[in-house]
Amino acid sequence: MPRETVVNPDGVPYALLAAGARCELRGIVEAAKWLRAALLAGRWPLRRETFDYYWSAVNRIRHTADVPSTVALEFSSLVSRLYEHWQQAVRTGSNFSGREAQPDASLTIWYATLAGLTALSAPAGWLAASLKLPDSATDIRWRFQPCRSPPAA
Amino acid sequence: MRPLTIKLLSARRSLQLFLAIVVCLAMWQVWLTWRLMEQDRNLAAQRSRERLEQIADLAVAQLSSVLGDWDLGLRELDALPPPALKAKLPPNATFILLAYQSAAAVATYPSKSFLFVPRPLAAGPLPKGFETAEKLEFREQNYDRAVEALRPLTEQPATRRGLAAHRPPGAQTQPSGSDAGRL
Repeated sequence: MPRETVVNPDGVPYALLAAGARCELRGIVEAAKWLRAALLAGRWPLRRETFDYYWSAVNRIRHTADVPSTVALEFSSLVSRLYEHWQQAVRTGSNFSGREAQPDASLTIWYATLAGLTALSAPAGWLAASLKLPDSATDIRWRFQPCRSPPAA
Repeated sequence: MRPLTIKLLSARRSLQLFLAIVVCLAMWQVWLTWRLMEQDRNLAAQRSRERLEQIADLAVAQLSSVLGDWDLGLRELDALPPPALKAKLPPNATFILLAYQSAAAVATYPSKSFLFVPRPLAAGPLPKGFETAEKLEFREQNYDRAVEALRPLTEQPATRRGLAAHRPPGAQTQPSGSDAGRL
C-alpha cells in the first residue's frame, strides 16, 4: 500500500492524518476503534510522540483510558534502544556488541557495525532451554539476579 | 541387727552410685548421638554445596559457549530470515535487523508489528497539485480557486488520502510545533 505511507513534511503519514481528522471532527467511535486497531497493528511507521498523540486522541473519543500491550511497547522500545546503539557505532566509527538482560528474564544480544545492527531477543526460559545439565541437577532452579555495581572507592 | 542395717545402707549407696553412673553414661551417649547427627548435617550441607558449585561451573562453561555461538551467529547474519540458524542461534528467538540498505529500516523475523519506530519515513516531495492549491489557499487566500485546484486530485486514488488530511484554515487542534503533523 504505497499511498498509505506517503508522509507530510513532519513525517506523519497522510492516511493517519486523515483517520485522525475523521475521528476528531466527527467524534465517530467506530472510526476511533478502527484507528486504535491500526495503531496497534503498526500500520504506519510512526515516531513515539506521534503514536502517543493519536493513542490519547482515540482514548479521548472513546472515553477510555486504555494502554497498549506491554509486550508491544517493550518491543518497540527495545528496537529504539537498539537503534541508539547502532547510531553510537556509526558516530564512533567502530563495531561493538552487547548483551542486555530484560526484567522478564529474556535476553537481547546485539552486534552493531557501521552498515547496520543485528540483534536477537531470546524469550524468557532461554537459560533453561540452553543448558544441558546432568540428571542430578534437575532440582536446581535458575533465576536472574540484577547486576550490582562495585562499591565506590 | 546392726550388721544387717550396715549391709542395707551399703547396698543402697551402691545402687545410688550405679544409677548415677548409668545416668552419666546415658547423657554422654545422647551428647555423642547429637554430635554425630550434627556432623552428618554438616557433611550433607558440604556435599550439597560442592554439588552446586560443580553444576554452577558446568552451567557457566555451557553458557559461555552458547553465548559465544550466538554472538558469532549474529556477526554472520546479514539478512532475514536467517539462513540455517539452527546450529548457532536460538530457535525461538526474534531477530532484528537495522540497516540502511533494507527497504524498511527495521526488519524482524518472525515478522512483528511496531507501535512506533526509531526512524520514521522521510517526507517525499508533495504532488504538484497540492503545491498550487496551498499557494492559492494560504498566500492568495483565494479559497474558491484552491478548491478548484484540489478537485482533480480527489479523483486520483494516490492523492485522495492526502486531501482527506487537509482541513479548513484555522481548525488547528494539534499541539503546534510537534511532529504530530499539520492538518
